[in-house]
Amino acid sequence: MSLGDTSQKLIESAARISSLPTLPPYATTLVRAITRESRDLERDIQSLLSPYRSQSSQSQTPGGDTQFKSSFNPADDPALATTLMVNHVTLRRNKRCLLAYHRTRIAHLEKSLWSGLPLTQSSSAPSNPSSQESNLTPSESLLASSLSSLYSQLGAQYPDIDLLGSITPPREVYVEIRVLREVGEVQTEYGSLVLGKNSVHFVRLSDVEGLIRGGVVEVVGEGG
Amino acid sequence: MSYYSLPQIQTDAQKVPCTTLLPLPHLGHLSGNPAQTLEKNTSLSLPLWLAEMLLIAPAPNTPAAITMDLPPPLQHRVVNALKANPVTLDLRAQAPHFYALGARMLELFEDEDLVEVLLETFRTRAVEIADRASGGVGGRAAGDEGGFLLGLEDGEKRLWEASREGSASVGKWLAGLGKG
Amino acid sequence: MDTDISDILASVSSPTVHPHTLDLQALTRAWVNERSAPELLPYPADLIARVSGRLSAQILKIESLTSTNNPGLKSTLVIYQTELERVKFLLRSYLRARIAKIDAYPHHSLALPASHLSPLEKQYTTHHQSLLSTHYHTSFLSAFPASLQRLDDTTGGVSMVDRPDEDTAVFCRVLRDCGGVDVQGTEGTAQVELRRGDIWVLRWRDVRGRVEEGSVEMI
Repeated sequence: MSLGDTSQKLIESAARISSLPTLPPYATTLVRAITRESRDLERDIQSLLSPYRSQSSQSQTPGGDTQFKSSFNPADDPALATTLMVNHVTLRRNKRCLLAYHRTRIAHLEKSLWSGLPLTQSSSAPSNPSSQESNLTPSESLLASSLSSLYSQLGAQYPDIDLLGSITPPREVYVEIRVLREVGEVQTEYGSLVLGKNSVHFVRLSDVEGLIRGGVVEVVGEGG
Repeated sequence: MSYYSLPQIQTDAQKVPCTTLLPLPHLGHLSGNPAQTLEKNTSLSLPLWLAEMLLIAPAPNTPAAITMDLPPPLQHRVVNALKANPVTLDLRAQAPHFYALGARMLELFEDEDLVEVLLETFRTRAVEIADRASGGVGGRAAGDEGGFLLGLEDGEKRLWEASREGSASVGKWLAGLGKG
Repeated sequence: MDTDISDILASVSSPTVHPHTLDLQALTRAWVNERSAPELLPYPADLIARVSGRLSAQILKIESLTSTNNPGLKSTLVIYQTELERVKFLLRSYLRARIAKIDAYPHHSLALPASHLSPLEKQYTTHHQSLLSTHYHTSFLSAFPASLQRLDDTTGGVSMVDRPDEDTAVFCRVLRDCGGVDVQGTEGTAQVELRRGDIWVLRWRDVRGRVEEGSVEMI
């Protein structure tokens, strides 16, 4: 095994993610291989240290694991110390690469969640990045919906400012829009709009930003 | 953003030339010979993240396992080429994260000359990037437009993109002013 | 005397700036500062509370004016709503800039003095990190030895706790004379005086204190 080769591939995979519009499939094979390698490395460490361990030097860690104190002195066997170091450093490297990969995917998800949420709190359930559903692991799906709830809850703490809304500066207050897809009645802050197909309305930009983004309506002209 | 930074992690994967200082059983796999002892005075390439830790002695009065040399992108041949003409060299081909690699190696080696060369190289190339980003044809490299840009290393590429975006944004804003 | 001495003085002194305007200026400055500074700045709880309160009141006012369905009020309403959108945007963008920094440096942010994070932000960060931690453990981290399962380990070659770069170059304007700053050049170190009106490019660490106390603003 060439140490760290698989981790290297995972990092290369991570580096490509930010330029993609949607999350690519999860690198299951790579992740499993690195996890397996890590288990092997730790097992090797433990077996290399086993001659130096005695039953009488057991202790409990706060996590409940039984930890064996080792009486190994690096000065006695620098070569063994080096092997242990190689294993340990590789474990840390694997951890770092795995974390960086997962975090890159999460950052991509979070970005989608912050910009894809509906405008008004009164709308129905937040949109899922459904085009990416199949590329998320079960854990990522769960995380995505937990994060979505977290952001909604945070937004609810600042009720008037629409925390999850657009962060490009407002240009005009009102716009003229044409409805491209029939959506029926839509709630706005000051009343309801009936958006029949091809109907034209002069409305507040902030009420329809989400609909513009989603291609449901298009801007015809801008008013002041 | 150091721990999770992909460019930083990739920089640390760069291979560096090392020499073993003692025989290392169990570690034959590092030079492609698993189940064999890695003999003393063996030359091999190790990734920086590993080599860096093996430079540290395992205990006081105990020798470290390896010594390390500068990787090829920072050796004399390249350094002299940079001194002669920093703009024409394809830095990306040397190392995708050339300056980051230099910075890492300088954490481990003292080399004032290398510091000076890297600073001067960066400055000269940055000026060239800025010049081209605002529409100029550049200094020495006129007639070699594509070459220079293709040879930008990672940080320089981001500098180029930021300069272009900045130029374009200012242009757009000025044009917008004209509309009243 | 019927009239108080201070009333006479008030009537001849220069017109004061309306407190609403002062708050808006302060919010705008806080917004620019927060977006430009590499580190999270102290949270101005009172300012945000006042601006938020006024925002709610303004929304109610607009609602009641809208419901009168008086066409003569249309241009007034447009003015109110334009102003409203502007303030909403400022607050939103300001809070989001802070969240972005917190997300980038979660452990560092949680360790900042209490003045820097609002209670909501602290709660958000803790919850956020907990969700991430669970995800990592499920996905791979539980395969590692217990001693390597932490996400805030500073003992390895590279600390897991990322922090913003204090040496980041920042553009700033001096609002009032506030003393000298050591600047490193190629030949050595020199001192520069920060005088009102000056514009400087300096290391963040050299102006942080002055930005937080209001003597210097980011641009």
